[in-house]
This record gives sequence, C-alpha cells and structure tokens, in this order.
Amino acid sequence: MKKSILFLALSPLVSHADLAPLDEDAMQSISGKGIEIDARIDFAQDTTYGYGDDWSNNLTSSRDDNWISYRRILVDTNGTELIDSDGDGYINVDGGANVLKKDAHNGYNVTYKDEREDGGDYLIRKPYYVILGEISGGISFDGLQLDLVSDFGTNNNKAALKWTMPDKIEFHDFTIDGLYISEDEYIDKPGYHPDGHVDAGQFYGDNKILGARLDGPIYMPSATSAYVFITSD
Amino acid sequence: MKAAYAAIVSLALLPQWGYSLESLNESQMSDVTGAGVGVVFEDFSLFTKLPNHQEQGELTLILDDKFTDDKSDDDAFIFSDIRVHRSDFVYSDTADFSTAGGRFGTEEYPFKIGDLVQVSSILDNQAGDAPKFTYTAMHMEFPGGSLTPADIAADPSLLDTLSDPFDLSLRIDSVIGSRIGDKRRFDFSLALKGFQLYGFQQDIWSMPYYGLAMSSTIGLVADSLVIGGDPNGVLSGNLSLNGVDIYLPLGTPDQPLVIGTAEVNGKEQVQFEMLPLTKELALKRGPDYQKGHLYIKSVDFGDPRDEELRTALKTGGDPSNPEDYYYAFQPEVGNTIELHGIEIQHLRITTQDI
Repeated sequence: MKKSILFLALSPLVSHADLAPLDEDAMQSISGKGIEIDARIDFAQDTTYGYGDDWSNNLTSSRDDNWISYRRILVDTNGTELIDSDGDGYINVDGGANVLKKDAHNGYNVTYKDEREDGGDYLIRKPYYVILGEISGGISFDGLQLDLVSDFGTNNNKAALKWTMPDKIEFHDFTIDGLYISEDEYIDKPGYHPDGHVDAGQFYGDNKILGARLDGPIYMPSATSAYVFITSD
Repeated sequence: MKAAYAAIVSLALLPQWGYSLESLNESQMSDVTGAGVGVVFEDFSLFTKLPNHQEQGELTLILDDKFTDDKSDDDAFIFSDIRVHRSDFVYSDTADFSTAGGRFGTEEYPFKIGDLVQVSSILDNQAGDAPKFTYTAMHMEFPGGSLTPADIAADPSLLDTLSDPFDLSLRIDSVIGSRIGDKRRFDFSLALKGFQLYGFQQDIWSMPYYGLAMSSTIGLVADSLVIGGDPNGVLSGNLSLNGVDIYLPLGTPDQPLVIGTAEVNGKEQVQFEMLPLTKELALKRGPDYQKGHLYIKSVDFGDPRDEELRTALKTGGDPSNPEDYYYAFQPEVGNTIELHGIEIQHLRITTQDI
C-alpha cells in the first residue's frame, strides 16, 4: 500500500525525465538509422457541386475542395481583438467608434488624405481572407531518405538529420487554381452575369488574383542533401 | 500516517507540471532567442529539363481567368527550362549532371528558420528609458543573413564561405487567349550567372492594429543578369547587366511591411504596404543609418563587341583588333550605374486585374 502511493508520488518526476531532449552523445548513438519515403499524393477536386435553387444565379462553391485560408486578427495594444461590431466594413475600437489609422498606437501616427467621400480619415478596414483554394492534382517521388548522422559540421562531430532528396519529383497537373480574396473563409466562384441576366455583365463572387499550375518533373540529379540541425547562441 | 505524508508530497510535486505548461513572458522569451533550426544544402542542383529525358516540367501562372470551362483561353505566363546549378558547371548534352550541385550554407552560416528574436523601435518611450516598443519576432535568414555590405567589403572571401556561386536560368513564354493561331509565344529568357547572397533575412511579427508585419533585407552579388530576347540565345538579342551588386533593406521594426486587403473598383485586392517614414523616425536614424545600394559595373546592349558601341581606339591599339577599342557602358574602372543611399519612404503595392 505504502509502496504504491510512493510510486504514484514519484511518477511525475519519472515522466518528466522521459521528456528530456537527447543530448549530443545520445544523438550520436542512434546515428545511421533512418527511413526512406516513397510517396504518391493525390489532391482531390470537385468543383461541380452545386448548392441548388436557393443559389439563384447558379453559383457554385468549393467548400468540398482543399484550401488554405488566412485572415489577419487585429488587436489593440491591450491584446483585445478588434472587430467590425457595427457591420459597416470598418473595424471598431473595443465597444466604440471606428478605428482611424491615425489612432493606431504603433509609433506612426499616420494620417492619410481623405480617401472616402464622407470625409474624415483613412479607416482600418475589416480584414478579408486570403485563400489558396482548389488545390488539385498530384505529387509523387521515390527515395526521399532521412538519416540521423553524427559527422556533420566543420569538425565532423555534430548531430544532424540528413535529408537526401529524390532525383526526381513528379508533378501531375498540380494546380492551385486560385489565390482569392474573400469576406468569409470559403471561395464563392467568380464570374460575370451572362446576357439576359438582370445584372448582365456585372462581376460576382470573390476576386481571383492569380492561379498556378505545375506539371511534369523537377530533376535533382546531383544527389542533393539537406542537413537539418538545431542552432544555438 | 506515512502514507498520508507521501500523498501530500506527491500533491506538492504536481504543481511543477503547472509551471512547465505556462507560456513564457517577453523577458523569458528573450532568454530562448537564438535557438532555431539550421539547414545546409550540399550538392544542390535543380532542372526541369535534362538531355535524354523526354518529360520536362513547367510552371504556369494564370493571370486572367476568363471563368469558362475552357482553360486554354486563360492568359498565362509559362516558366520552363528552369536550371539551378553550381556556376562552373556547363550544361550540355554530354555533361555529367551528378557533378552539377553546389553548397548553400555552412554550420556557422546556415539557412536559419524558427529563430525567436526581439525587434525594437529605435525611438524611445515617453519616459525615455526604454525603446518605444519591443516585439518578439520569428526570424528567417539565408546563409550570412546578418552580414552587411561593410562586412563583405572588409572580407570579400566571406561570400565563398557562405555558398558556392550559382547560375539560375529560365525561359518565359506567354499565352494570350485572344491571339489567333499559335497562342503560346516566347517572350524572353532570364539568366542570373554566378550569384551569391548575403544579408538576406526576414523578421515576422504581429503588431497592434495592423496584424502581420515584417521587415527584410535583400543582398545579392552576381557576375551578370542577362535578359535574352532571342529564343536561341543569339548575343544581339541580349541585354546584359554585368557586375551586379544589390543591397536593399525593406522595412524595419519602426517602418514595417504590412499585408492587407483593399477594395479597388468594387473588387477586393491584396495590398502590401510599407508604412511611411515619419519625420521623427528619419531624424532619429541619422546620417549613418544603413541604406541600400545598386551597383552595375557594365551594361551590354546586344553583342558587347558590336562596332556601333565603340567610342575610341585605345592609345597604340590595333584598329583591326576589337579588344583594342573602348566601348560604351563598359568602363575600365568604376561602375556604369551607381545608386547610393536607397531608402524607401512609403511603398504600397496593390494587385490589379490585367
């Protein structure tokens, strides 16, 4: 009984010891052990999914695709998140009026010329999402080798993780169809309303800035290796 | 009783876990700066096209999507025949490509990622006893990222310590959807020969009211930058800038580059803005502040030995020998182009529909 309680009492210390990082000597003792990775990665795409009759202008969305979205979170100097609390497209101070750029406490005290018709100041706009969306296609390679080595560096005595790159990385129509700007974290497919539509010729959806496609092989014929290690002061 | 005592001891030990999970405050963060991940590349080379290989890779940048199912009517730039290799390697059908690689970085000067550093204002706070602000930033640098032009001038051999000289070249074609006939057309080729980087670094942090902020520096020396207007590389089609030396600070903690979005003509666009240089900041920087520069030793318009570019015969020279002439934009000493003291006052870049 007493023994088991003592064991429990010590367990935090034991666990703590287990979590300590390996020192240089310990790293060296496992040098030479590694893994090899062959990979076939497929990025699915389905942009044909429609949202039905309630999308009157037949918009499609790409919520079923792969995407990465990023938005700034604005805070004041106290770390309080600032949002567009009155819904006018400009952010507000915590529970108050719109933030003007000249109010921004960052050492600039910048005042812009009047950029809005209703005068005043250059307001800080509600941050939009930048989305890398509709990622499709595939990437494949053979023989990415990862090894722990102990002979890296000027004196050949430093531990490092050595990546030996494959001699060919194959891209199969790997496409990031678009870099979009959006009010929410989803892409609303853009376009122009067709002739006959009540808003014919007008732009709808999120703005697409750029798209990129990589197809075919990238060769690395000289047995490229990368040594990854921890730097210190 | 002993059992109860042991239980109390065990409970007393538990708070240690609590401490270990607490986040670090700013001063503790500064104690852990300098530790990050270093990466050194050896035998690095990269090609999208090799002799005796049928397949070749290419990168397409789609500039204007017509929002139709037919992708072939999109306007695009196509980058192909991309080559990166050690500068003294010569690309040919019979070359041994296993020897094409070069080294980027050393144990002392590696690529650094994930370093935590402190970035501070050069302005004082109101009490005048500390910087106006200090933020913890994520630091990234290329080999020798902290070196300045003065360091390189004092010891030019440092460049070869940082990395081997490399060559980078690529071909750029364009597709314009409305073009009749062959839609894909050669635009130009670009080659950067014998380049080495120094002072190439970036700090990223978050700033009140602005979100993501960054400051970076770019330093590059190269034997030449060649823009080729002929698909077969005919000399007369080339514009060659030789002896290129660029050093450009882009942002500081006091004048960072911020990334946001802006509405232009009813569409949302990405906007990069380097905040303005205020009078207060410019005064505080003083005359010795590290500014940017651009030096170009000589410029070749087409064939560097083109007779049209001759300015005079050298004293005692043989008129039949092309090497005995002086040529325009090819000075014997000094540079053709020198821009000193580059300092950006305010910069705003907004994407547009082309």
